[in-house]
Amino acid sequence: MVECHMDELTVDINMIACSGVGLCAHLAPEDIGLDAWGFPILLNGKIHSPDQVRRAASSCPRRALSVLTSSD
Amino acid sequence: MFVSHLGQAVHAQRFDYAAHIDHWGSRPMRRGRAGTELHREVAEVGLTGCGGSHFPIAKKWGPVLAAGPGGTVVINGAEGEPGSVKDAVVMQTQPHLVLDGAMNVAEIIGARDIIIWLEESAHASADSMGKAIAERQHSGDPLLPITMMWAPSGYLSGESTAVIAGVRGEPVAPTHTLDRARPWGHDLPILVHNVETLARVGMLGHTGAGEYPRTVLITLSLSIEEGVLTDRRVVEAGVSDTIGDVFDRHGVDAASWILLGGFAGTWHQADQARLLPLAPDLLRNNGLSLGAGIVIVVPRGRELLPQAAAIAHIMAGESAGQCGPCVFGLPAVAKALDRGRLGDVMDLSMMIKGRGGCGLPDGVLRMVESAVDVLQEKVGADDGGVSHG
Repeated sequence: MVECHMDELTVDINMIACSGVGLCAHLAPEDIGLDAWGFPILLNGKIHSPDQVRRAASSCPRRALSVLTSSD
Repeated sequence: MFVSHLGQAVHAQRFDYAAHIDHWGSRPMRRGRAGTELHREVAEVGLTGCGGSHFPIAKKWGPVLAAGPGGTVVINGAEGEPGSVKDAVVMQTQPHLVLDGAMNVAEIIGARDIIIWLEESAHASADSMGKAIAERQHSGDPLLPITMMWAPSGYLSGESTAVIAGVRGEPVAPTHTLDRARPWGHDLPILVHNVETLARVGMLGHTGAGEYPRTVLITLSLSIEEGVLTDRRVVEAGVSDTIGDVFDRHGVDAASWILLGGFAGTWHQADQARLLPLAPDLLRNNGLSLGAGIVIVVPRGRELLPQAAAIAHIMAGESAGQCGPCVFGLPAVAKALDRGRLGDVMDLSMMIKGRGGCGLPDGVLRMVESAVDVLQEKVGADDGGVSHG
């Protein structure tokens, strides 16, 4: 097992799959906001709360959010 | 060596296969070491993608070669943008150079077949390419299995992930890819190359790096009204020329603004633009690009903002409609431009930028932001450089 450091985490938003449900911004408010039309925007360059973001990714009804490590 | 230039072809009759052989000779096979040699020459002349990306072609083949033999080469003839007609001209005058290039690439990467990807409205190009395939078969010169496929006309019909989707029988729209160097995913490679790029690989296979003409093909539009281009011509220029050289050669003297690189390009005051180089690497150093070889001239006396707004509306209409920031954002940007609210334009741009599934919204925003930039520059200059707060 390779240990993952927090700064190696990135979030990929598949905007083509995203339909603007907005659940991610509720589950990961520290890292994900919504734009004027309800679509997700990453708030920070580095992820502040990896646990929240992972929960948001696994909960996305459109499977539009992926948490990646640098080895991906 | 002027006759070996693509530009000669631009104004010439169509080269049928006999004329092609007479002028260029037979295509040397490019399997094995001969292929490695051409790959090296493609790197040596610094060939970059002529469809707008200007990505180094020799590098683009790396992941394809690593994937092993098999796969498909796509001749991408869907220009998509009204400011570009150079690929149509190449297909209609030098179709065999395009086929030579596609065969060279296919042999280098070990592809099994070739697809010609055209917009459904491109009848003349389709006729010329179709005739070229027949001429080759008639002469007994081998071609890989080659098929023509049709895309609905539109700005994104030639976008490379949309082309790959279309080739697979899926809807022709950009797809989400995490690995941009391997947009075909886990299946056999589908390598998409612009028509002019392939013609250049074909030409290089005949001339070698030493005699290869280092030129760019440009679609020069001499007028634009409400985003509609008129008086288009395809011209060829040397990579050491400037925009001013092209203007002088083609009698462009009453220009106010130019749009460099097409509807996803950048606006420039015409007098300043004259100094710009045409070499892709020099432009890139200035953060600029010719895109698919596009220069659009706004004649003197015409305002820039209405042109930028009209193009923004057209491009908003060209969205594939898949991503929220593009679907909602681009019309909002276009309306803010209509009203001259440049601050709102920049705020919207900052919110949308980098968030589309394909490059379309970022391209439009580049065009829009550069319009705001040059207008504000001009206001500064008209004021004698004194800020009025």
